Amino acid sequence: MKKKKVWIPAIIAVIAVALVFIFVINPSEGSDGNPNGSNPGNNHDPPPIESNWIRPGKTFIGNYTAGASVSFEIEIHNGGDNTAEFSVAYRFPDGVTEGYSKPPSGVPNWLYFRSGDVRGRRVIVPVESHGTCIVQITLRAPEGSELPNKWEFWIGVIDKSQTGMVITELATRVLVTMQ
Amino acid sequence: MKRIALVIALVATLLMATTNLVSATDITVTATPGYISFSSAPTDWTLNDITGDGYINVDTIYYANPLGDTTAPVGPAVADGECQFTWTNDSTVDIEVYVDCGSFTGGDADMTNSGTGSNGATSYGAYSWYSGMTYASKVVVASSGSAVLYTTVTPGEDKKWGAEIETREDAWTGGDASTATMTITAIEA
Repeated sequence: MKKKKVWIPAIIAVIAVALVFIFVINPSEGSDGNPNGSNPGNNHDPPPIESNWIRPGKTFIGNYTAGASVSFEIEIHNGGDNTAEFSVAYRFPDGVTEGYSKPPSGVPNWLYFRSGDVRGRRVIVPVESHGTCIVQITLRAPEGSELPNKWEFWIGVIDKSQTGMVITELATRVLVTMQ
Repeated sequence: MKRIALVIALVATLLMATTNLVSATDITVTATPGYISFSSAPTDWTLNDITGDGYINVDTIYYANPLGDTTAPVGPAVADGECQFTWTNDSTVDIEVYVDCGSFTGGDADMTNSGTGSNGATSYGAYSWYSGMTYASKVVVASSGSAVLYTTVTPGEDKKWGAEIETREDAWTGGDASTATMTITAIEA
């Protein structure tokens, strides 16, 4: 009976050490609530109210591995006087940053939009006049996918209320570096 | 022995669990702090409607040039007055600019984008340029994947720009106008 009492605290101690390691040394959630501890760049001076804008301009995903999920955010501001719908979509890059490859063809199917009205490979988000919204996007490449060591894709944001032949797209780069 | 085996199994299980968590939580996500605010005006462009009557012919180059719809920039450098559009960078970061243009559809003057700058039987060719640029270095406008038009638009910088479209070679199938969307994309340099 005495031996049992020795083993029970030892097991509890092992569990406690493991739990401390899991939840304190390697926190799974950042201070901003993003499950991967992202820094969406929200600490900048307030941008103009009466112009459309997006941020961040670039998102860096590091130590990525196929099969893992990672989330990032895009903030969209409507500078117009009326509520407008914004299209947020995967965008094959016209050009990539030096040292990065163009993205694998499967990327559009590996992105999951977590807000707004998802229509196929894009999401439509209504943003009220002079209002701002955040679109959260999750990247999850299937396990075993062959991915370049460093690759880039874009997320394009278009104000759907634009008229005329020439429209403006604001885009953000997502730069992925593999583990 | 059973107890030792139990503890070893427990420790091994916990280590496996923590190892998996480490591989998942090792992913880092960081972002640049600036924002992108960029616009271009005017947004309307009807071929041959800046100084012309809006009717277009096949196998003809139309320019977004206030001096004339069929007037090419004289060169060697493009002048402000030869550019129909102005972009404005209100971002806090340097911007790269790309111009793509899709197919003309919905009427009797349908044309696809050849992607080469030259027209074909049922395809059009297109280029873009900006003020101060050597006109001969104009950039091909493709339906996607166009080369960069301007690599570093600094915060607060305005710049005039224009484009040209060479209509298809084959005759139109009727008189109804077709439309296309030209997209100017701004992305952090």
